[in-house]
Amino acid sequence: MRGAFVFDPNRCTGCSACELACSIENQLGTDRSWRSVLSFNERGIPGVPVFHLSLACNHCETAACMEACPALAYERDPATGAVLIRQDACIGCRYCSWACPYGAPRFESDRGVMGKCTFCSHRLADGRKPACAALCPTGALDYETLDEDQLLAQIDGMPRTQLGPSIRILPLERRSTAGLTNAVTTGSGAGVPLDVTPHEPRIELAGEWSLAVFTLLLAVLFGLLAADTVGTRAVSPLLFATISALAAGLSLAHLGRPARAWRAVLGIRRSPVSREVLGFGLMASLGTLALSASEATVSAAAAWPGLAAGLVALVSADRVYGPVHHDGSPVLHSAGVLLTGLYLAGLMAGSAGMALLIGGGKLVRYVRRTRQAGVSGPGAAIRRLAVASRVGLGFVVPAAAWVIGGTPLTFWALVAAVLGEAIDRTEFYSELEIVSPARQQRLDLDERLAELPSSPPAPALIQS
Amino acid sequence: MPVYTTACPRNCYSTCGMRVHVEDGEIRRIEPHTGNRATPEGVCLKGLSYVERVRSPDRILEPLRRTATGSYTSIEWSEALDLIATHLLRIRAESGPQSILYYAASGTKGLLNGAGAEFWRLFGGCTTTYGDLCWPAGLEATRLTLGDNRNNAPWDIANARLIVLWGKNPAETNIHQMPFVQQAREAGATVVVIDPRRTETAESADLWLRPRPGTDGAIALAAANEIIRLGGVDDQFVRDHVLGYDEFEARVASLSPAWAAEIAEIPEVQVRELGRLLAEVRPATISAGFGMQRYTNSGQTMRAILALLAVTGNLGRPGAGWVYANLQSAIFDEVKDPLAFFPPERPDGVMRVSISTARLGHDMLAQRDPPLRMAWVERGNPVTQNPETNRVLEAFRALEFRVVVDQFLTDTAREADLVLPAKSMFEQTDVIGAYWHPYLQLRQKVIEPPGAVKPETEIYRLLAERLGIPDEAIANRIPGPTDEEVEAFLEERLARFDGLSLERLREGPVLPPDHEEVAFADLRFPTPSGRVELRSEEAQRRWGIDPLPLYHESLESTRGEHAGRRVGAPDDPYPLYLMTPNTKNRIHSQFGNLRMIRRLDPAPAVHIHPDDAERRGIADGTPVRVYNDRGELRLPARLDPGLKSGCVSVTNGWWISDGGTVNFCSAGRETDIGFGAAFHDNLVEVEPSV
Repeated sequence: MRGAFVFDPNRCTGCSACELACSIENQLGTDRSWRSVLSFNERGIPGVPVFHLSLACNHCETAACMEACPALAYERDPATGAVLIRQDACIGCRYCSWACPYGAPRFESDRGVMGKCTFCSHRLADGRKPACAALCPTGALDYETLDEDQLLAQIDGMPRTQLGPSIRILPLERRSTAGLTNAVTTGSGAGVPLDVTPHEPRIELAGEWSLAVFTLLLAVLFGLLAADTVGTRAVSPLLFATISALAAGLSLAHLGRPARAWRAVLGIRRSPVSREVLGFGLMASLGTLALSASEATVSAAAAWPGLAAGLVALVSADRVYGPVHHDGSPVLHSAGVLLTGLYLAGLMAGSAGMALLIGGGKLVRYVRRTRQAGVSGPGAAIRRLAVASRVGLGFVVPAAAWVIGGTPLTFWALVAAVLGEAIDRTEFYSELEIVSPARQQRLDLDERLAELPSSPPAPALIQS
Repeated sequence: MPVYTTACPRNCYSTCGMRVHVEDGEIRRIEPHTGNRATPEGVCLKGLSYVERVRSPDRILEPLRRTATGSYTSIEWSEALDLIATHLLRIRAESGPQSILYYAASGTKGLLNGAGAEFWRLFGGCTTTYGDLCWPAGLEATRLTLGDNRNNAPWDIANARLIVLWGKNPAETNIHQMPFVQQAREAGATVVVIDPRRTETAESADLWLRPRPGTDGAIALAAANEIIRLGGVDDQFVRDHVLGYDEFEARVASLSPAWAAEIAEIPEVQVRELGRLLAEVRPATISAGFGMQRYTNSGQTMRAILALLAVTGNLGRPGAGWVYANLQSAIFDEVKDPLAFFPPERPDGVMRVSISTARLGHDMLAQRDPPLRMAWVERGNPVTQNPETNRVLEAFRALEFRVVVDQFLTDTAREADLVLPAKSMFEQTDVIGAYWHPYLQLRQKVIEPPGAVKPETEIYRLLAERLGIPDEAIANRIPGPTDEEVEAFLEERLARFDGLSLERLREGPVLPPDHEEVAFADLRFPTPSGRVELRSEEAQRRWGIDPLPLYHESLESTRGEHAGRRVGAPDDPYPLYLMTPNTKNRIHSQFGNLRMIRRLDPAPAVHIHPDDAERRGIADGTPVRVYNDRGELRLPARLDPGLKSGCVSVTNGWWISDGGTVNFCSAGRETDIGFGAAFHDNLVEVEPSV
């Protein structure tokens, strides 16, 4: 038994009173709500039903937000089962919003922290339903204590998950499909396209550039430390420390509450973000120590653990993107942080085997992906230039420099390689996709449209 | 936290009962009052947004005077009142009190609204309006047919086995009706929706008819034809309680479903199906909207639809009947609507009731002996809400002095020389009725008016003082400023009825004395004949229409002729119906300025069918110009394959600054009966704007 939202799409008219009820009850001001009403087939394409879904946090049995939080800012209220964010502990990293498929945690830019539905725990505590459920004018949204087998989250636009959301969505009943009774005077108007794409939460490079650069610098630092440690290239401790500081600054800039950055390591037991942060921190400090130590024994004693920490940071950095990368295996991506780190290490350290093996693997992955996606349509010219630059700078220039000048590679050859990787990394960010109800709506609507008969059916009548 | 009983006074079906939580003089929370059986689940989003509205930074809190540059500056009440009094005295002396227009609309309900008319009478008179923007054709059709505007209680529709939501979209305009409709559906009822738009309501219908606007009368007459053909007439009921059945039967004998289908541009099978359902399924309730009775043929439309209930005996029974305007709570009205809208047969020489609400701009400009020189507007925003915005603006701008009482700087307030701050519903106690459910409710004062806000009653009292109107003349007409005086005034009115008192109303909504849960259950119809009148001599005598319902094209239809041009011809300059429905997000032009509402509905758009868009080179989002001879609006197009081709649609109530004020295009014209506004007779063209 647990408390759950009960939603009847047959009663919901999409009025949004629930959104306002939430704003008012939780004193979120006029512009913010923790609940949203989404409309399926909002543009009313004939033959496909229009209906609404009112969603906030489903207070899942397995709370993906809580698992993703590096700062241990989430907790579960034992009395109500509510998953709560402690805003005084939140660092504003936003990874919970990547992890939640229902779009529940939302970044509050004015305060720099995440906010989300509390199940109105304060109301539940004194026996009242959550405000949204209590104030729904049609009784479409309710709150009840249900058995596990009464929970149900299967409707178009609802992401399919194994998280155990505390919600029961009643099946949609439409006795006639309104769009099909179009007849006599009107054609389909199929010649004019409708913009049917709902507004999806997306990870945009424009908002995440600091992370993109940070992950690239992580790989560069690893390569530099590796090259110095195996002794094939002397690296200036000042350069290493400077890049480390730059990377640290960029990762802080990404946080809504940089002053609480230290909390990012608290989730070490399960959060890849915590491991990334800790790994980076150790690599940066041990690496700087190793590079600046005059004693060889001290240097070696710091360098190898530093590299090990770096490896942890690289793997963790890739794993951070697991929930949002569309093929789910960011470690094997041609712009994966681990592969880039190892590739740059090979180039910098002059290890032909490693550079060829990893670089070759990256190139194969890149070419395969590019061919699958194809290069056509608007922007094809820019795209071709990007592909050529990525391959040319990232692989051809370093290889040519190697063949002509041997190792160690010149500074400019290395810069070219890093730039090539940077191009690929921006592509990686454009492939990120947050699982969300809006995205699910898009996918399900496409499916419904594909099912439509090609010729308009006879006017719909009542089957009696 | 103290909790008060109150009710929402907007011009809306639902008139929700509310419980308002107040803390430190602020409204914290608004919950439904479950004592109102019609609205027990929750108030709508607009009702919730009062939390913002009362404390909106845009609210007018002091008298504002327009400066030479057109901006507004705050002034003291004494200055504002002196200014008004000076104008009133001078204009009255020079050209008589009737050169002043008193215009009050439906922005808020309440017994104390009567203060305005009392004041102007004491002043010596004024000019005022007759008719109404909203619903008179339907009210009058109902009065002529059934004798009175009484409906079954809202919750009774759950007992219906057939529900026809005719030209009504309760999902947006009467959301509290939807749970009762859903209850009926769950009990096996069939729901028919008739609407040119694919609305939220149409979405869940079993049968959806999408007619050409203004052709509902043809569908109704043909449905009657089909009912008769199928033997669905309730012979006993017709024999005992219906006047003019035989003539009606003869009238519709030739009006076949095929005929109506051709006119309404819908499949014939759908007209037959509607007829079959009405012939076979009982009890049936028809819930009719207001939009379809704002055409020049709509009195006859509404009479034709009412006839369907008469011939099938769907009156005076649970689950059966007409849901249009349930005026059972209008117990304080000496003359009930729609009669109260009609100009007096014998003018009293004090109040000049000479301006048709439908033709406000035209008629204001046309007044002579004396012409209008000043206007006082309260509870209304005629610039955006009355037909022909350009003409209304012209008429207001032709005046010497304009006073507008409002909470916000609406488009009408922006025309004023002086804007007076209006109270909100939470700042003065009043008693309100409703027109869907039957309850009387207290609209209770729960907070003090902010800033320098004064209720209208107080404004009028202060003005009367300056004008030298003696106290004893006012005493019993307009209550004094204290809460006690207001309550005593209301208590005195309530005491005229058994069981009504402020104390009872403070507990919650109260049913009026002699409330009929099932209207006309005694099958006595207060018409001249005592029967349901399909044939109405009064209809012919008063309005000059056929005594029987019949169908003719509305004046401005794609198949009619209008203003010397051949409408419907290939070179017809205005081939599209502009529909101007209401949205869930506003009550006419109210609420749209609030951030909570803007978040949901930030900007207007014109809905257009993809076929019509394609022909005009319009894509989704293209900026377009919607225009006719009367005016234009500019806004983006939104392709809507659910809309009937040949129609375009913009929700009404957008302010001029939003770009979507639909009445720039509408015509100042009356409905065939009832002095309503036929502003849905409105043909336009749409083109990409350059």
